[in-house]
Amino acid sequence: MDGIHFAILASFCWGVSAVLVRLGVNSISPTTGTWISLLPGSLAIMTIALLLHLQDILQLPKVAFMWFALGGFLNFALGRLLNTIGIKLVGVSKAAPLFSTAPVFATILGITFLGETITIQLILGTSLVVCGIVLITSEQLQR
Amino acid sequence: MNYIKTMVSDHPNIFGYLSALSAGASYGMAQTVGKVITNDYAHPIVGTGFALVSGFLFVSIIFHKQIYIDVMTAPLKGFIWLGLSGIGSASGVTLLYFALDNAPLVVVSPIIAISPLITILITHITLRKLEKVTARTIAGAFLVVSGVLTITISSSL
Repeated sequence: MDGIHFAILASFCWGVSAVLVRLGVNSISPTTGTWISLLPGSLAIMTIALLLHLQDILQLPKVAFMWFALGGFLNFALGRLLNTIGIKLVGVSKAAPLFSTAPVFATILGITFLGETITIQLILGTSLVVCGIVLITSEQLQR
Repeated sequence: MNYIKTMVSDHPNIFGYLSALSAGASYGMAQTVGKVITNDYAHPIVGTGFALVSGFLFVSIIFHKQIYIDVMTAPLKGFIWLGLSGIGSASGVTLLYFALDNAPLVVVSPIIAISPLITILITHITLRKLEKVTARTIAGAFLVVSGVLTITISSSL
């Protein structure tokens, strides 16, 4: 199996995962839903990381763990919780395109804080994303 | 707290869209932090592993009361769906690393960028009774994906 197949399978797994969240939050609050969904992932990925990179982990500086905590808060506590709330309130099909806008925010932050450059492709891409967001959100807000 | 709950139940669409967009912003900030981690400190899977554990601990500490109530009262079915969702999500992350190990970023990132369309397709097939996928949603998703593709391809070239 090559990289393309793995990437397609990854996208498929995330799609199935979002649909399962929609089913789960019918009977459980988004906060607990987020907590449960993080449990298997934490165990699985941490185990793989320990098995493959134990020596590197033992040599990590203390400051690295502060970055891990910040990344964990933004991605898996705040991001995953807002993702679950979004799915519960407007459904998977409308929420999924909206939280896939992460690269736009990442690029804007990269320009602001990491000194990356503004390109025509970035302006064009951002314009397309904004049009898509307006199209999706205006449907139910008009009602 | 009750005021917020009332506001959300009165305007679910507005808060739902704001939540989903804020999730995108939060993921975007996390990607920027992730760049610092992978550039300066650790392999992506090590960073993701520790970030997942940190996220799990944050949620456990902040929402322990609600979690306790749900664990005691909510139906098992909900826990199974959400547990499986966590397995699906973790499998996605693992497969992404395998993809990046076996193909260049310029090939992998466009496929990952189209994942909302795959999600919509799966939703249309499996959740017909629960939610309706409209032509407008599909058109909007295509525009968002096109924009994200334009940005990710140009930044990975």
